[in-house]
Amino acid sequence: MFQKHKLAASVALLCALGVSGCGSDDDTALVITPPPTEPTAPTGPTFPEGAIMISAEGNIAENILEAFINAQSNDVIVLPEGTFKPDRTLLFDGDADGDGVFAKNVTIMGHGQDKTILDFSESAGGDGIFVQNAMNITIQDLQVNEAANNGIKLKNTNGIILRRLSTIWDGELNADNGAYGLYPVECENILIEDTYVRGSADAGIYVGQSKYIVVRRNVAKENVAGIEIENSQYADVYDNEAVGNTGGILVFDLPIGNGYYGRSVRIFNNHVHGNNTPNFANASSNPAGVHIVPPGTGVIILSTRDVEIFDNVIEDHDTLSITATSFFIAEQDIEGAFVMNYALPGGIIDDGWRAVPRNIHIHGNQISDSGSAPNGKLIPDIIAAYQGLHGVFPAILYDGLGEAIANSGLFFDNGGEGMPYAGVDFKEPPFAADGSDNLCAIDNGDVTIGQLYAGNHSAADLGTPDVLLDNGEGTLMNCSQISLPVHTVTFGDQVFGCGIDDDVEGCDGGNTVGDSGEIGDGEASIIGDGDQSLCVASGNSVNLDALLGANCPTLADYNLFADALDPTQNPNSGGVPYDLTSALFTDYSSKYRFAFLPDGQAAQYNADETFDFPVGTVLVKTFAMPEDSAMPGTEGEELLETRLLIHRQNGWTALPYVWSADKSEAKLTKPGSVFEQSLMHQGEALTFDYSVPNVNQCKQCHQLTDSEGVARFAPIGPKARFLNSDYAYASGTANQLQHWADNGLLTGLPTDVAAINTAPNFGLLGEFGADEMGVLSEATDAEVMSLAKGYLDINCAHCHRPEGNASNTGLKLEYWRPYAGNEQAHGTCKAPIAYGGGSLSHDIVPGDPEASIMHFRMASTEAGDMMPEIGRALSHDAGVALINEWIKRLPSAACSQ
Amino acid sequence: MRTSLKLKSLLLVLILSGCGGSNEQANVPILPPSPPPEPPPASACEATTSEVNWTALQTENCERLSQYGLFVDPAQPTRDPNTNGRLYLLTTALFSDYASKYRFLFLPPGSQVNYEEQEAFSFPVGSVLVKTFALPQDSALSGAHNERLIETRLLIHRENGWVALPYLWEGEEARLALAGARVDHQMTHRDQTLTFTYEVPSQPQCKLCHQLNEAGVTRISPIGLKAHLLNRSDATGQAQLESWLGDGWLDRLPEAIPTAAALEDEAASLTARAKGYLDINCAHCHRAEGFASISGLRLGFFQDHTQFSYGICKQPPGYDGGAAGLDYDIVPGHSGASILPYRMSHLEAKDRMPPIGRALVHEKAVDLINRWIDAMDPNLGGCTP
Repeated sequence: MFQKHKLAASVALLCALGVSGCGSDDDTALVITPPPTEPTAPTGPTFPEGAIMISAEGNIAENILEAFINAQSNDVIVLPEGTFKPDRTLLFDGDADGDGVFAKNVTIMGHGQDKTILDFSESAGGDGIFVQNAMNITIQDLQVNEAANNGIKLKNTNGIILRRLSTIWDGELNADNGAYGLYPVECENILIEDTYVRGSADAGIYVGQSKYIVVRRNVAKENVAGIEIENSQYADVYDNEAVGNTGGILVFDLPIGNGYYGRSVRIFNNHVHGNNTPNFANASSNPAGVHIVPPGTGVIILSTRDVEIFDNVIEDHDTLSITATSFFIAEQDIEGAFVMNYALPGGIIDDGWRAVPRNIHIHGNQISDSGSAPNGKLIPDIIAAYQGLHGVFPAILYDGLGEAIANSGLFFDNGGEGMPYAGVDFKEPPFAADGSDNLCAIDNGDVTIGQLYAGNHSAADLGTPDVLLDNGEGTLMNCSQISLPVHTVTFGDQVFGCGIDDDVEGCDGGNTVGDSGEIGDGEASIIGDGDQSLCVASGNSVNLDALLGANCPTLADYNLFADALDPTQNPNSGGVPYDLTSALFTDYSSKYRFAFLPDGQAAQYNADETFDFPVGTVLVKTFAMPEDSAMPGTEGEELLETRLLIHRQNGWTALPYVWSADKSEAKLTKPGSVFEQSLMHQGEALTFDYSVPNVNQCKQCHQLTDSEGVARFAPIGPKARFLNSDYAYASGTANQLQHWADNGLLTGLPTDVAAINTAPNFGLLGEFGADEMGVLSEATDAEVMSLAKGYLDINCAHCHRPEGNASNTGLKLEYWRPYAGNEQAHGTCKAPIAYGGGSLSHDIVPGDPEASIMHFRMASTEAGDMMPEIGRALSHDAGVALINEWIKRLPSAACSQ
Repeated sequence: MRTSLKLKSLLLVLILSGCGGSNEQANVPILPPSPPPEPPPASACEATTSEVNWTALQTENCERLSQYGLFVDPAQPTRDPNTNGRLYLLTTALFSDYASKYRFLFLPPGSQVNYEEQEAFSFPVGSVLVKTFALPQDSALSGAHNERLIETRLLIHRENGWVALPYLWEGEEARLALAGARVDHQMTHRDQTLTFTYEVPSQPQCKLCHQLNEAGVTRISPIGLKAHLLNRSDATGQAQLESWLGDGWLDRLPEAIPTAAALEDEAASLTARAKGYLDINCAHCHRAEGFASISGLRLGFFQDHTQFSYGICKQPPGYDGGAAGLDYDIVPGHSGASILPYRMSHLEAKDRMPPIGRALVHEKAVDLINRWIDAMDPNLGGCTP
């Protein structure tokens, strides 16, 4: 449910930050009283060492542009405190000089939302700040005012954080104000939070033709549209306040014709109130321009499908609280202008746009004080009809016209004969018989619901609406839909979203959708968290039904181990433990790995890649922290987490389970977790933050891009070269591959196992060679090469390979790829693509580890420097020593001194 | 390539932190150990030669235009290119506040341009396009005596792609101006005196127009060097592309070459003139791969101009119709109801098209577009004012 105190707190915070205009309006219904527990004096932003401080002297626009043009990755550009009047648009391009090298992860910031003020009233340019072609950009702590077109616009950019910003057109509200305050378009992964937008002649916050969007804790006041999600996918809009606009929050899908159309949008936990301002947008007859928004409207859904509106407080609206409508209300000349503009062959419907909303779920909203003075130039007939027939205007109104047209089949080419308007195809099949296309509104309190059209309408009576009203009898839209997933934003290794990085409750959903398509739990194999009734363990068999059909709340539900509290031994149902010859370093944690294959099925052998495991396979890896790195597996080792990789019908799913403090259970923890750990290592006590990855982070490493460019989840370790070693089974020591083959778990194993190119054993403390007694300095060059290649493979090559997440770096570190002839692919004399490198120039300088970036980044524990980027808080001294030795011995190359 | 810039911005930080009251000097950022410093290599920009400085063009953004050695007289970028440079002319041109433009192509010795049917020609790495803008005192007069040198723009094809560098003229010298500049100018145009601020684009602004997006990656690309815009006589009266072919500058030339008509060409049809003008003035953005792809408007020379995508009865998704409340880009037969000439004839940031690159209205062009629209069959497209 909506949490009033939380919203009040965030509004209070904005006011404390001194947002002008905030809270000064007499007719705002919200009582602003900060709870005593909230901090009263928020501190201003801090600037990192090396931040580029823009001078306030001279031409401010030139000063800022200079910094934008010269920006390098990870720069923080700080605009001075004060009010400035830039004379032109501040344009930032991620690759201004076009050399293909991007300035990534740049931060543009001021001293505060009310301390750094850019007033564009005298600018020659249309936009205030305009960012294009960037990767991971943050803009925060500043104010942009009076821009001719848009306050802050971003285009073709992946990774955007807009935080603690204000965009304001002050004074009288009129059509000459700029269109959009915050305006990302054709972008991906957009987080907008804690901003204030006022006075836009179109939308205060407008996210267009984008995907992976989180808009939260913002205040949109006195715009035509407060917040608009247009032609965008995977958006969560929550904890915002929309007040004093013409319309509060809009979810629109417009016929644009460039292939971007919206779906999967959630609007929840927002306070939408008093949006009764006369519409001050320019009146064009572009049928769905924002000028059509009837004043006094809370939330509008136009044409978009898969929208969920829930747990909002929506109050004090002259016209209506929530409406969902097809495009046919905006363009009522269906057989004329609509057909001509959108439905001709090769037109916008062919491009993928659809006019009819489907699967809309409006539930749990608190709606009050709606419809006292309905108005709006688009809908006078509808208002008159309701007032004439029923004497009221409904708080929730559904046009039903699109559904009626779809169900009539009038404009749908179903392949059969007899279309009344032959050749004109709206591509709107009848609504699904199972109800999954329906528009549902339930549990919204004591409100009136209206539906203009219902049932099938023949061509002749489309002009005669039904004008139905439900006064609480439950006659209209009385149904519900499956919850939409939580939508997340991925920005570098950070993931933002409801309940992911904040403590917002009631995020609903269950499944999570973020970048790289459906992530982590499901690949759409199951809906939400699946059938939770499967999550009951019994007997001594693995709960395969649950593994395949549900994301269970606790690990024990899957019944993987004889003792549910000990995931380090005694697997059920023929699960087989395994070890890798060389392993990923994870802060000296011990790892207990098991493979469970479905009964009677085997994995298919592959010489270079991970074995091909059958559906139903689950790989289980438990991480435990020893007291001393020299004594893993002994008493006192603490269980931390257990990760599952489950091969479901549509692909692999990763589920992280975190063990409770008392080790009585391991709970599903999709957002990951961080906790303090300590251990003794070589006589030294190390204390650090151990990170359990969130579900998106699992995929960061566990993904391979296939030939069609689709990134798919994949296991990493179970490859022949890491498994070809002995394991001490209860039944006696045996070669793992041979053991798997002998027990029917593996087919296609070559007869000569000894001939398999195997990564040599390398232990956490650097043990290698016969009896693990090898000494690096005494090893042969070939031995060192082989050890280093094995180590780089298991620690780096899941990303650093052509199909991996870091393919853009050009580093290719698979074990099987020989160094000789592939020197540059290993990093030798190679300038890094996306890393500043400090004072170092090459990933590897043969003979000189100290001059090699690879060595430096492995030794580092600083975010931004360290490699791997996630999965460790410590550096692995034995691994670093190995790479040091390897680089020393590499044959001299052009960059060697 | 970016080295000199990097040094510069580092320097800026150092200077700023020196005077910015930072008293945390002891807290030096921990940098990885660095190899012993080498003596800085002599900048290729410092080389003195009377030839084109190919090395500098390839590797550095020189502070002064003259360091590239492009012209016999470095102070005269309007004539006499050094060896391997040649002047070229377009059939119809982008309007830039009545500025005269002097365009040169420099090809690395022994290399060749590849002919393309519809797109910009393919240029070998090393190619340089040089365009100098000079503003006349009177729009009716051109030539060095009547003009003031404003800026010279370079498009250099380097190893990793095209790089745009704007140079601003100050006296006898043009200096790199990555942030652009605003230059006040006064000009007699017919019977009026125009006072305006001419805008030299910043480097990222160059990219606004000069970018093509392929599979999500934007790359800088030349605009004017297309067959239909180059197919005319050159300064000596020879067929320009024939000369290129004859001199070995071009790999091939087909029999039939399309030609975009000049704006002023009274002999050509209104449609031909309008299409040529819209191509060179609009289509770099208004194409599927261009900056304005989201508009859905496609104004390229080879587009069918009777179609919705060319603006016929097309509503613009991102424009509110202006104060006039107009609905369609082009309403056939009704120029007054058409957004296209409306935006061409406005100067406010909200309304003007192109959004950058002009501070004046190109009256002749507006007039042409109006006449072209008015001459269209009003039944085309089916929309009404």
